[in-house]
Amino acid sequence: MPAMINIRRIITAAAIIVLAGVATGCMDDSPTIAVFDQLLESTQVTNKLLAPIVIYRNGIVLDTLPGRTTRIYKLGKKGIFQHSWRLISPRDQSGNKAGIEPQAEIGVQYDINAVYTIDNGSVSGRTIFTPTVFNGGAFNLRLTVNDREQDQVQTNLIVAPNQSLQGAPYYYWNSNSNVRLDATNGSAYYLFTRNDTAASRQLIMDDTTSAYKGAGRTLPIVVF
Amino acid sequence: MLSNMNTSKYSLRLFALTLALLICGGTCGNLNAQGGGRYNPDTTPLSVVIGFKAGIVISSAQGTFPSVIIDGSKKGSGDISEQFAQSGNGMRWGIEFMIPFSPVVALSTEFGSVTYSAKYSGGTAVVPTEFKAQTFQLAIGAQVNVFSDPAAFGASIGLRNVYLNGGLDVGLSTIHNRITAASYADTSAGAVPVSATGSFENGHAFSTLVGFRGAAGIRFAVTSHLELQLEASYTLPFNKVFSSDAIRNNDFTVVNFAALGGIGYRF
Repeated sequence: MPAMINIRRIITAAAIIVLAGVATGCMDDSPTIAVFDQLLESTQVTNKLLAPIVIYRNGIVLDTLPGRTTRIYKLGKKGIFQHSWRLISPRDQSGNKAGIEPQAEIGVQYDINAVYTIDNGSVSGRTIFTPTVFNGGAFNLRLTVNDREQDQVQTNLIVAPNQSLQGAPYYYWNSNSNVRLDATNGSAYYLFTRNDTAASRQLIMDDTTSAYKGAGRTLPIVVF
Repeated sequence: MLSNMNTSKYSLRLFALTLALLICGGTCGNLNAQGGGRYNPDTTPLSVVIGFKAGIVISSAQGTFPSVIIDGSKKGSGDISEQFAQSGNGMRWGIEFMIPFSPVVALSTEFGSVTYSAKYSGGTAVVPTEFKAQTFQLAIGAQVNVFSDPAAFGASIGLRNVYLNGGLDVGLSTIHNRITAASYADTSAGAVPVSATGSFENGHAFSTLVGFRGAAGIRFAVTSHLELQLEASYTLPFNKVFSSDAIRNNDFTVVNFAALGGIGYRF
């Protein structure tokens, strides 16, 4: 029995040493930002979304970057430069925002010639999407996205007959995302969901078209 | 059976002796494996071992530490020459998987974390500077047993292996960092520096630090499955700490020496 106790003591002592090593090996960052004393030359931003975004540098508007566009912004200075961006939503018939306008931090620039890409995964912890809709029917359709979900957006965006949805409004993509199109005369509505068993009513993100990878657009939704 | 292994007699001596082995870096010639137990066919030289170890790291800075601007400073802290470098202390811990291919050769993989510190002394021109970082670490290498006692496998106590390990040590990402360096209230030539602390906000400032890691160690069984492990290692980096995309013409890097102890379970 004493031999067993000593084995436990050895193991316990070793475990304490190991855990003490782990605990004392952890450290925290300082909230104060440090950068290299190095001249920063430029910042390149690529907007893969279909909608325009506003680029901010140290909280001040730097540029409005159109969708699917790349621009290089000269710097030529030393110091702390923090970039962020905000999505611009199109307006509906009433002049109200028809989609979300998330804002996200890009962070402090360290690369002398930094390269940043904004895509549908660039909103921290979320994915965004824009529905691709074609109205092949005879009536105007009004758009609602994520119907009955927490991030539901009811819009006054109208898709006219034989027209596609304009403006590329964006919405949050979640496991129950859906697109609802209501005929403005009240005669019918069309619901497209991620989980629909019918392929024609499934809402699917277009990850296959390489030219639009990162844009967050869906495969075409067609209403007849 | 375990009570016959005289562990009460050797427990304290074991710890002291293995520390001595680590310092000498040599083989153990005087510790004899205590046999006498019923042979346990489950623990053999070909059994996989999963272990957890931790210990101290002594770091030596090499190259020039680059000038930094800590928020509020009106000018850079100034490059610091290697002549002002001092050794720094840190810690290392990891979970190791040892997979033997033969009684002599094994593959060793370790996931864990290293905290290291590069220090530079003050002087008439510079404020004492320290750079600390914690990285998520992956080490992979080949382990060669230069000594192996077959009788110790299955016995509850005994020196099983003395090994040498060589391979790569990769800093997969920098988890935390902290810099204490000179800060200036104005840009005049006579401005007096004060000490300020800051951190690089994201990983773009860092490169993926890869080095060659050489180690020597021992495994000592306290039961048929449980082993104590002691190891000394030396990591020599191939590249620099900071990314060349972020700072040009900088040769700052860190050499680490580690002394680790741990527990392993041999299946």
